[in-house]
Amino acid sequence: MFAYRKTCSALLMIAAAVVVQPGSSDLREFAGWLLRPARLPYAWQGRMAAAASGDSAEAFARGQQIVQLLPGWTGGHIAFVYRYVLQDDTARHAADDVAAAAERRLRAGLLWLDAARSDANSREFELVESAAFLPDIACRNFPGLADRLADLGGPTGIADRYLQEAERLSPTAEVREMRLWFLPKLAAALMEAGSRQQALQTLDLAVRRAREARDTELATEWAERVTEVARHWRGEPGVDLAAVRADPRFASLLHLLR
Amino acid sequence: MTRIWRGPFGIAFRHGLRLAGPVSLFAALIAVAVHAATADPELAAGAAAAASAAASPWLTLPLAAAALCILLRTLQLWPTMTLRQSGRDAIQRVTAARAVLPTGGRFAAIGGAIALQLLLTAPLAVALTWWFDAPPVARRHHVAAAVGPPVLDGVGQTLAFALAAPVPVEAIWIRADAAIPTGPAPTSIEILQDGQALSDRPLTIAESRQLARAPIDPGRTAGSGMLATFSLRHAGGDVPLLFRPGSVVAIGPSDRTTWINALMLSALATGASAAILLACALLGLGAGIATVTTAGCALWFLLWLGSVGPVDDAILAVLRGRWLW
Repeated sequence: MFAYRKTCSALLMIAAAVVVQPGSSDLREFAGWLLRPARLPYAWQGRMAAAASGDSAEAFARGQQIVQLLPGWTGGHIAFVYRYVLQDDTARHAADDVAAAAERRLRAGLLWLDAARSDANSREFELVESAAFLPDIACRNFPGLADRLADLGGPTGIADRYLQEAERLSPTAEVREMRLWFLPKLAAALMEAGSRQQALQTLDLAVRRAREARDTELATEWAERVTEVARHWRGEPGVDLAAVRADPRFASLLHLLR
Repeated sequence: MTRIWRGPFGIAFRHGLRLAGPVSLFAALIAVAVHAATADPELAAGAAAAASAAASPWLTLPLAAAALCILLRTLQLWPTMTLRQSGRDAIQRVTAARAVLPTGGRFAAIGGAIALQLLLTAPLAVALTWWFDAPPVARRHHVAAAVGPPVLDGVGQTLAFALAAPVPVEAIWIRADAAIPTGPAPTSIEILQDGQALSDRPLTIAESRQLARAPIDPGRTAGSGMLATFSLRHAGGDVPLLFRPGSVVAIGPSDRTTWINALMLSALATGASAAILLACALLGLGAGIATVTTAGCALWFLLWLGSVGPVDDAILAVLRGRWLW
């Protein structure tokens, strides 16, 4: 009787495997269900130990172990990557070495965020938005890093590409405006890189898109300031830049308005 | 020698090997396979040694499996380890007549078990630390004790630290606790000896438990690389810092090889297993196999999975390149 039951169970399991035909990702997911409850508490304990007594590379590797068990946890991906990229706990002291290490961490972090998008489902936007702001924050923390990102378009170029992607993923007014307010900064970066024509096109785009902003009064006033900057860069005479200079939203452009 | 091999020592060793050998090797293969499947190549390319400590679960797995198999096999195998085991009375009669100390062969059986564990885990520990990219050399860590109130919360303040004895130092690592900042600037800390800076640039600390590492220039120390006392000076910034015991560590030169460190790890783990077996033997004077096995497994769980005791810390130390002795 017992052998009969066993044989039936085995046959049914084989039949199920033939009908469903699980792929490698299904098997990995199934293994994840089995492993997660046993592994996760220890993985988290290891992450805490790394934060208390290890270094940032170890903490990131431990964080990766956790998010491998919970691939859809976008908050975890973002927190672990930001901490890894922005924390320099190496013994390097030469500015070049610090910037080189920061560049390596930033590229690894952005790759990790990109890879995590495939499991993020409806929260993919969060990963893209976080990736957009990370290079700029890293460049503020590590002098010399921005120059090393020239092949990617600098921190603003990277941010703009991610914000475009965020806008594609989540075409809402909030995301559109997030990119809108960012455009003058991108124009400044393009101007610094010698791409004057592209900088002017970016400002024109900003003025056009400002009409779609929800706060019409704010957008109109902001677009006037952007127009003044564009006219100044085009070399038009008699442009009054006093309002632009007094506006903290355009602080990143001030050194280009002389 | 033959008598030892045919007695409780040899029996515990041989029977334990039959179970623990294949299980620990299988566990090692699982550990290597899972590590290879889950390690991130992006990070590994640039910071493999730094992140090798993240492989500690995979080093723990085969060592813990070996320890559990040997523990269970020894308790189950040798009749005098617990009450009401078949053959217990006969062995006690024989040992009472022949042995100077009538322990019923318990100590010999435990000796065989720990010899087996050492023999199994030593090569596993050495091989796996190499496989998991542990730093090839280990460094001594010397904890520096603060002399005076361990707080730096104002520019220009100085806090002295003393080591137990003059030691060669290549770096100083600081992991201070930060209080609520009074402004936006991170705090800069200078490391001084007799008023002279030991490092090229001050360290900057912005948050609690942030690791800050300063290489020490041996030419600037009074004792040509040897350091017994030094001080930290608050050079600016708005983050008040508190230095708990163990938060300032002097790092010695990298003159120790990791494989010896791995051997010490297996010796330490074996010592912990010996303590568990001795506790089980003591409990077995008044309890049966089920009770003793449960108690042994609970102690094993606490030691290997509950991070109680020295083994967990020692595994991390070996993979982080910290000398155990």
